Amino acid sequence: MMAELAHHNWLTQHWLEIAAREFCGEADFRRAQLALFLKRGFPTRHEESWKYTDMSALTQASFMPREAPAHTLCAAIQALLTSHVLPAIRLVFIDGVFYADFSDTTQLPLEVTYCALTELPATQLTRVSQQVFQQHDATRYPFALLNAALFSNGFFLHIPAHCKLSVPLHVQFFTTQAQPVFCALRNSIHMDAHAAADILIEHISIGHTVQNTTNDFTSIILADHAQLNHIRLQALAPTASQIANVFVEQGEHSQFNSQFFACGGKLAREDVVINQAARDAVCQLSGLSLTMHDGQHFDHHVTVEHAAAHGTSSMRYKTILDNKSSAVFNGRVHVHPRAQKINASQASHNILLSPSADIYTKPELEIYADDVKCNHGATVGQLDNDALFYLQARGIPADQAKMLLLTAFVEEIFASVREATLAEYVRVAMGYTHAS
Amino acid sequence: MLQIQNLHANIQDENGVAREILRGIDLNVNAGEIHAIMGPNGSGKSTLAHLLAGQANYEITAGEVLFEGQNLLALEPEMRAAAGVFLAFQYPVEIPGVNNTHFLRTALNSIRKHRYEPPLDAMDFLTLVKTKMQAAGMDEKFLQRAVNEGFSGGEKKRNEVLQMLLLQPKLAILDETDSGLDVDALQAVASGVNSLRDPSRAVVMITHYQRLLDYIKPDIVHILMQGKIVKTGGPELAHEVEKRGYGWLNGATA
Repeated sequence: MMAELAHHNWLTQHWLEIAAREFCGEADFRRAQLALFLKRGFPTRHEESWKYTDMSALTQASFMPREAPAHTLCAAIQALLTSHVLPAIRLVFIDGVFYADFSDTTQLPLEVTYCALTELPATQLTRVSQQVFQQHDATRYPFALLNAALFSNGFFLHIPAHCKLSVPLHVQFFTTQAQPVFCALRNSIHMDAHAAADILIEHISIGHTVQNTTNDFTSIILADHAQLNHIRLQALAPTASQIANVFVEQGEHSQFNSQFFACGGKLAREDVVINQAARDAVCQLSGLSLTMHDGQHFDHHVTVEHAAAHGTSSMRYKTILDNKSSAVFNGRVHVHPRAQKINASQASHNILLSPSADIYTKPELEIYADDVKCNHGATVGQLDNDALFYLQARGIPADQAKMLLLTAFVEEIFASVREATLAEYVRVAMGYTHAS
Repeated sequence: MLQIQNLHANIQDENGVAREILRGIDLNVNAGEIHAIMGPNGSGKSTLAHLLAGQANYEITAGEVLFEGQNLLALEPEMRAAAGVFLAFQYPVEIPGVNNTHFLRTALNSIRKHRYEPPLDAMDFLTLVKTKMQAAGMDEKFLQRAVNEGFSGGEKKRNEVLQMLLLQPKLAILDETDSGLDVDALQAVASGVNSLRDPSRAVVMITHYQRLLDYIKPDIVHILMQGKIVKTGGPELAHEVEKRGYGWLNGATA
């Protein structure tokens, strides 16, 4: 294996660092995942699911060791945390390092485990790392394999049966490094039967020249009747990058509501896979992506595996693109032969504000059951010029008129966030304050 | 107030071929006057109205338009509105997702800003808009709806009148505001326009039919054909057109 590793300078270096730490005796697991990754290799554009997203820069990158964030940056983060305080139970990481001082878990019920991996007892940690999703073809998600080999931290959440959290959870991953740094984070959410929670997972940069590349992996296991409202917010600096995987396992009658918001980063790839292997599971997925900068590229792949009967899934994704930016939306619904009586819908709506922006949207339905309800639709358009003129003719300046129309376009995605304080928080972060 | 001199304008069709729609319009509208512009389909009436409001689809090849001495054609649509030009649309645009109240208040406050007046807060605005809605004969439930979305033809026109009453323009241009209206709606529109009538304002009505002119009495009537004003007269001209059609005006000069 070391011979194959030798082709990848930064990977070798990271592997040696991780191996030297002997992260809680998980070396065998990590080694096995790394071997799988090396066998498979970095994805190339010859692969269908990577056709529009070029990862070659990553193979040639030279990453540096992380530096402790400067005091001024810490002060900026502290100021941000005090001015934008969300009434939530909060974990704060800076460049992958857990900061207990910035975190606030005072409202956490005793029976709930919610902490950084580095704070987790070794016995529990085994559960995290061993969580391999056998039913998924691992080679499809190379960065999940890489993550398993290289993760250095992340958060862990376990909510016992019948525990319903009334205060939302907020995990903030700050990135601050002015030089290229690679960091793998592995997060794990377990919700036992009838548990319920709201969680906001935020990736945010402090500074405009942040060079972090974050490889993020989150596994979510919802037991029967568990309900999770899961919000992801990506507001990285335009120079930072992120490759994320979210794997969800749904139990009977469980409900997974997930909203994805992205407005930053140079390259951001997200693969979400929801597996409904038990009947009567419901997932409602929506997302809003804003790409504004030349060269900015977002790629969002969502797959729902309907492997059991009576499941429901809906996807509603919107993108607004400006300048020479590009985005990919690939929504796949896979209905297995035994998954009768499922209801799946999928929508992708996109607005191009500039003639040089590109959107690739592709709905995929693969249906092997005969008694199902599935629909999908995709639109790509520009702002409605007639509406724009109408607003301007009433005295509303062009910029404000555009914002009114864009707000109207995006509003339903914000409205799908069920917890009001979280909805308001993401609105502000995305630059859309509530229309009165 | 409004002076249009030798205005020529083209529109490009889908093949990129320019077609001349306005072929030398001359028109003077003074404060206090109500003008009617009549003409057959395709004569350029709506083009003229949209062009005055700032619609960018047209290419102006010659002529000028002065509004209170200012070059109107150099202004963005919102600046024309701020200067006091208002177009009541023939086909008001439906804007899903934009709340009607929010739209009306944003519009009014944008214009107040240009007049160096402080913005109205939500409560003051609501009080004002409710009195104006009564005048336009509009149910208050339309405040909660999205702009024009799912409104009937008559409701859309009443919403136009409501906007006009709120914004209090100096020059109101009504583009076939009477089309598709029942008598009740027509009366509501007419009383809205008539309430604006004062020596400092002017109205230009674009219409096919004499009917609207029974409710809003024009001072001057123009006939627009093939991109030119071919005849100008008093209210009696409208009656003549109603009786005889436009055919007899072919080749006539103003």
